[in-house]
Amino acid sequence: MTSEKTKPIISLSNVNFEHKPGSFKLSDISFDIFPGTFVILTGPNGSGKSTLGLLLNGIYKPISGKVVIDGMSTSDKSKLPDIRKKVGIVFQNPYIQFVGNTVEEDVAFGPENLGLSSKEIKKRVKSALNAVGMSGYENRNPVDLSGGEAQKVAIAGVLATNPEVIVFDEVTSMLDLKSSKQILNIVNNLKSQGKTIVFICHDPRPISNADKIYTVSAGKIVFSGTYSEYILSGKYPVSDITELLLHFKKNGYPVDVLLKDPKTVYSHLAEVLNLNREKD
Amino acid sequence: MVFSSFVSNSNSSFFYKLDPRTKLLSLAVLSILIFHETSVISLLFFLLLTFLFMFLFSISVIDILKTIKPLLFIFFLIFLLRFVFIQKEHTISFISDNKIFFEIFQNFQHFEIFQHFQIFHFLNFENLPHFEYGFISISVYTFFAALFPVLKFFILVLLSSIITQTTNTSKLVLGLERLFDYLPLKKFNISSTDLSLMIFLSLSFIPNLFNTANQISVSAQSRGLVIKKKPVLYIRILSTNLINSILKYSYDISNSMEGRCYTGYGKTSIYELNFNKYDFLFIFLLFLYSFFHFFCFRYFLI
Repeated sequence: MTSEKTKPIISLSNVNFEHKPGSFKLSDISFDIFPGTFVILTGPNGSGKSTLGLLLNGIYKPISGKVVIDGMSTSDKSKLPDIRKKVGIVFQNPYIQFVGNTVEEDVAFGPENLGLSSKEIKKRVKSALNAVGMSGYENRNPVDLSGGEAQKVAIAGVLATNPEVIVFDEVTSMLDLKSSKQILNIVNNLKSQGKTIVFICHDPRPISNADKIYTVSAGKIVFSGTYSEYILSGKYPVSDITELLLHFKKNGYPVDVLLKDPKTVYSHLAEVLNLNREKD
Repeated sequence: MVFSSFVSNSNSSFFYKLDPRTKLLSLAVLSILIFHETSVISLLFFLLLTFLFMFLFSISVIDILKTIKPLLFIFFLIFLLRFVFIQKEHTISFISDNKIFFEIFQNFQHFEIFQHFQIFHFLNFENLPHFEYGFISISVYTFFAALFPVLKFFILVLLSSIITQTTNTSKLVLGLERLFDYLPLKKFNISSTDLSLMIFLSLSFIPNLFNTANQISVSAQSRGLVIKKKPVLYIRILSTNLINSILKYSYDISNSMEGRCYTGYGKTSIYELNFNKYDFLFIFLLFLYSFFHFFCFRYFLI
């Protein structure tokens, strides 16, 4: 885990936002995201997670407060092109992101906007498609791809601009289990390459290696902590705790107690997690 | 080779390798020629030349004609409106511009074979019925006068179809963008990249539009709407939802484009457009033909 003593790459201070007066509002949002970390933004439908994601890329600007990306405020219009080179965003529906007739043309769109040469663009496209496992699909029409393939191409399209931070806005919501796992593998690979990941989702359970979780509800941050703290906060369903404990048992931890009620479950899990920390 | 030109595209032919800017410039020059055309003979000559061109450069005639098929109804509508409502002055000037054509047409009746089988006896125009009432005037002359703009329209669409069938859409839009760069659009705060991307996205969106319309229609019918009984309601539902769908699509795609660093300026391309010797040769031949067509038909053959 990256040291928190380094400067944050994204910083939100007392951010307030609403689409139009009287509509849904994001209220007093403040948090920092550090380079190389994996951050989850979770919460129910309509909580404001996706809106928060669009604030990070400068697509939305806060009504009050500041969103600062690597020292640049999103309220400064002249800085927006540089901000978008730093922070890429992948949306939930890949099909509304396609602007090319072929996969190659679509992935090339980002590097073209950076003013790169044709040779450099082709190099980046090849590298981005390799990173997501879509080499060989260059001449396919993106709208003819399956959901999982389309989402991979959408990710490649953002990767080709080589951003430092990638925001994934519910990228697995429309996918089956197999495709979701493939996407999560790609996300984890990007994290291991040093990218800063902001993963917006309903359900953080599949992502146990996140460095920080923020829960958004009704436009406010209601929880902020590590993955372990999230599990212990009571937001993690009991049935999944049981699964988690079985996982620990398989890995040699002393999980033999009879779990009668949620209180027992949580307290026993805290013991196991403490043991886990000592092991580290 | 003649048969293969009817049915298949040979991507290795010379015309496919031309720079898209050459093709767009050719379309512009030929469109200007056609718009100014007043002679049926020269238009027919041009049409013949176009088909010859398609044969020589292995451009599939059938594929091109298939793309024009959906427009047949519009051609018919234009013809009908002109046929019924064309003004007398236009007919008179059309006849005067095409004296030679009508003389040739009427002289067919003097050929023995036509006389023997009484073919084309209608070519003696004076014997044919002529109807006039107020501003409505119908005769053989108005028939040809009405057919003339349809022929022009057909040729324009044919030329456009040849360009679009023989060029990658993205390269065509890139060619358009490079040509727009020569226009003083910046003075009006318009970016050539924006303009060409708008055209490209509009073209790409058309299949989505049809799919969305189909989904809306199926959804409405599955909830009990009978289109034949309530066509006005159907049109209202379809139009409202389509407009919402278009607005949502525009919003989403513009967010996606901004998210991928689009600014409208300084955009390069994965493709490289380069003029080569074939482009220069083609442009030279095009201007030569345009000169010939304009002066010969306008001043010598009419």
